[in-house]
Amino acid sequence: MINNILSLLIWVPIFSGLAILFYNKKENYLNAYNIFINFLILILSILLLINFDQKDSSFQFIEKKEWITSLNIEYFLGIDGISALLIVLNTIIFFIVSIYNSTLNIKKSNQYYASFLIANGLTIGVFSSLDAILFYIFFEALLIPMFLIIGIWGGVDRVYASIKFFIYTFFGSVLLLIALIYINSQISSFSVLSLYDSNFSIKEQEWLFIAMAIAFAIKIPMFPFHTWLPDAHVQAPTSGSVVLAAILLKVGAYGFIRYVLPVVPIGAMSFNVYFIILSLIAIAYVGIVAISQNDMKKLIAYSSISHMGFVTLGFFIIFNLFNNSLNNGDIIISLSGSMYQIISHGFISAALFICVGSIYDRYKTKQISDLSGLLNQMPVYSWFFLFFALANCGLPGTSSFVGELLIIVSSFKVNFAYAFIASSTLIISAIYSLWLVKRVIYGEIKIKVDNCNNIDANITEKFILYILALIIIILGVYPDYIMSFMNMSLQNISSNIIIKL
Amino acid sequence: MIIQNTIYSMINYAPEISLSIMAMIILLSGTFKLLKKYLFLITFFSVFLALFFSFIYYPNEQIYLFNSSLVKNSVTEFFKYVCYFLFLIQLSISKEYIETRNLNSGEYYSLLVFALIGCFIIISSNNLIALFLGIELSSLSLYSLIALNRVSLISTEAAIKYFVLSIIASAIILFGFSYLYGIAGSLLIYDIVLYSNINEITNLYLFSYILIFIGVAFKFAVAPFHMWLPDVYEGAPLPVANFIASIPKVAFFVFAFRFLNESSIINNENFYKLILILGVFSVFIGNIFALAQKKIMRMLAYSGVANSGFIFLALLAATEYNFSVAAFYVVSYSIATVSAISLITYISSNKFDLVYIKDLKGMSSRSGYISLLFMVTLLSTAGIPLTVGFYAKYLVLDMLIEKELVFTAIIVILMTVVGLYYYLRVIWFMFFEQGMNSIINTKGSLFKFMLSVIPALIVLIFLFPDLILQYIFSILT
Repeated sequence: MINNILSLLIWVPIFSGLAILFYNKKENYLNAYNIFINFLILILSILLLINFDQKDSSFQFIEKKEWITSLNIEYFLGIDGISALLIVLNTIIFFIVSIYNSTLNIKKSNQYYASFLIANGLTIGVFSSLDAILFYIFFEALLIPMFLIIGIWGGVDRVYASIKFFIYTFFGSVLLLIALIYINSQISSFSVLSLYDSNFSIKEQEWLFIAMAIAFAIKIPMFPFHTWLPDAHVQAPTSGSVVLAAILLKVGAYGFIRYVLPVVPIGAMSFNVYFIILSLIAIAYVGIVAISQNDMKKLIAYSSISHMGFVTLGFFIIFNLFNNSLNNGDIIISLSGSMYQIISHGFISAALFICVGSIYDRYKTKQISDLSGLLNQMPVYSWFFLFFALANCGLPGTSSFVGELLIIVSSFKVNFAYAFIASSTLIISAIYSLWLVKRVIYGEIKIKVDNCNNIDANITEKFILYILALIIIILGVYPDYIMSFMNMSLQNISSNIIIKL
Repeated sequence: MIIQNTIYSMINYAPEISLSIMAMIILLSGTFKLLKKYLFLITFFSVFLALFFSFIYYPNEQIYLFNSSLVKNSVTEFFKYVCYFLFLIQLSISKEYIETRNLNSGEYYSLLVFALIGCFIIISSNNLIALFLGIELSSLSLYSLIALNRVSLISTEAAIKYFVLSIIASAIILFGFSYLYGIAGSLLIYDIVLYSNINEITNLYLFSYILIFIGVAFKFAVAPFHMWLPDVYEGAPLPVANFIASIPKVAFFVFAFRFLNESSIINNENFYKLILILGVFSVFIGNIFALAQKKIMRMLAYSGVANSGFIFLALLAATEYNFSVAAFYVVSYSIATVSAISLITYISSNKFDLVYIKDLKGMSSRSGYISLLFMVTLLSTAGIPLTVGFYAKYLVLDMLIEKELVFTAIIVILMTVVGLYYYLRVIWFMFFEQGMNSIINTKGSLFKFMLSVIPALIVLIFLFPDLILQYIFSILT
């Protein structure tokens, strides 16, 4: 079983999602089924983590089968340290979402659960495929369940948001497809391994970089391409927002580290400055935009963009680090900062969206100006909210501190100005996070609720929040496990980059 | 010897001959009150009979019939099977629709079968005269089929438009044929193709090819020769529109294949450019115009224009891939279109036609299953992964990039992003909007089964495409 574990991880949720479409009678059974499948996937992914050999820098759990021989496309799965961690992040988040969903009253719940289960399998497919076209297929197929989740179960403007989301991302991914086809026409292979061995001329690399970078920059999203995200987040149902922020944005980041940087480093190097500037704009400017939001979900959406700016900053300063010194270690520190930020942001944004979603369920509003004094009515919730807000602004001891610190340290080695702007986030994110807490949690009670005891977090919600808080603290206090886990894979990628430069 | 040859040809041509005899029987049966009830069954039986004959007389090697005027090989048989399949699906879905509108006369079924025979003749002809007869047989049957609903003004208008424009196209094709006959001195297409390989391509030869391909472009509804398509889709009874959208396209693909295969004309720069420009223009026009449509059939028509543009672009691949790209595209597109129009036919099997896209509001709460099938079909036409349409688009892009037409590839793929919007709009109305829906028909589990055949195929071929791809690659090489 352990040899086919990746296939199991992909296809079990997809088929159980399809199966659930044909049953919509007893709500309880549906819930139990949904949680059970997600739990099963979580256990499988943890098995994957346990059996993963950290010392080995090559891809593991490889499954390679002929799929479409006439088009050179293979069914080629395998993971390294990066993708293993992202798969576990994915399964944890989907498990939490499945528990969270069980507390809600959802219309057409079987279709809702099916969309999430299918999205779960497809995301694992994105993270584990080593054939570029297989990756592309999962990458694009992932749009369909998310499109339906936003469009069917979303808010008032859901149609606009979902179509914008779909077309924006599709636009990016067709450019990716063109780039991949071009690569295949040159090296006649789609396998990641031969992509890493490829050697394109500077001009080719630049064009390929533009095509691929736009695709992933839309997905992350980077600064000028980010406008779909606030709409999608505000309109999506809470669980949809959680998956969007915690998983989907990471798909873009994963694309950068897996397909862009090691395959076309020279192209990346020539546009390096622009991407650093865009990342800095995302960090500082989008952070400032977040301050002025009145919708809590929008605020967290902008804060997500700002935090993902760190990830791209970490990715693109490696070329300056390379120019400054030929030290492989610096590059790895910067990349592992980015990867750490990816994982940490996955948990923190999920937690924040769940908090906001719960507030919305109780008060039917997401507007900050409508809310005040939540501490009096739901104390447990408020403490968690405060904790996650602090984690969001990079409090030492929480996971986001580690990633941001590493990236800021690396950018100091490159350029003082970069580091200065990047560290401004510590203040900006503190402003929007803490001000949000101040306005929502503290102050006078604005909305009267009759029975205060009943609206505080119930057991399932407490369970979710405890788990997330625990993970965030563990990641913040003991980053070494994750770091050593990624180390070999990042070394592999950075040596790939250096060889090509 | 002559008699022997004729008998041999007639035996091998049994499917079409049996179909034409049956078509006349159907026409006669329509006049008897007693038999009129069984028209559908008789038609079904006759198609099955033809299918049975074509299984029995499957050619193991290429054979020429009737003094080389008709050809039978694995290519023609493959496309005929595709046509049989599509025809059976259309026929069985349209039963309810035709009966509620009182159109089930002997003429309807027999004309439909005649149109099918016409398409089969186009597929297997190797002689310019036979080819022209095939074109005329299928077109003439279709003119009258479009106007079948005599009381409908819009049908009559569509029939006249189609009649006039199609006649002009046929005339242009015939003009091209006459030149070709003059140049090559033979009516046989392989002689004409051979002529281009032996002799230098003269301007006249090129001109006649251009005339012929303008006719093909008309039949494919490639812009700017697409004007008739939206009107015909809108005006024709839905089962007839279903026929026009799919089977003639398959037939005319084989027509184009026969004229281009092993011909050096495709390497002629002017001809190549003509096809390229028509293709890109058509993708452009189709996608842009489809955005503005409010009526679902007109939207599908413009999406058909865009897809025909892709087929024309795929024809450019002839030198490297030997038409397998275009063949795959034609098959994948026509099955998706048949599925879409069949779904619309099924939905409007009650009294009223489904005309506007917004009539689909609240569809998913009425029938989630049908909406799911519709979604799969539309995603396939748009070329999103998890459907076979993805490979079709992929192959065309792959070929364009292989030919170093990267810029063209980027333009057409960006146009499909634009085009995605109108497919998503249908999904949006079906899934995201609430609405009262009295139009929508949800009856008949047998129909539901028939409708799910194509979407199931679309997903299955996506998952395991290798068999069909290799088969197409092998027969067209």
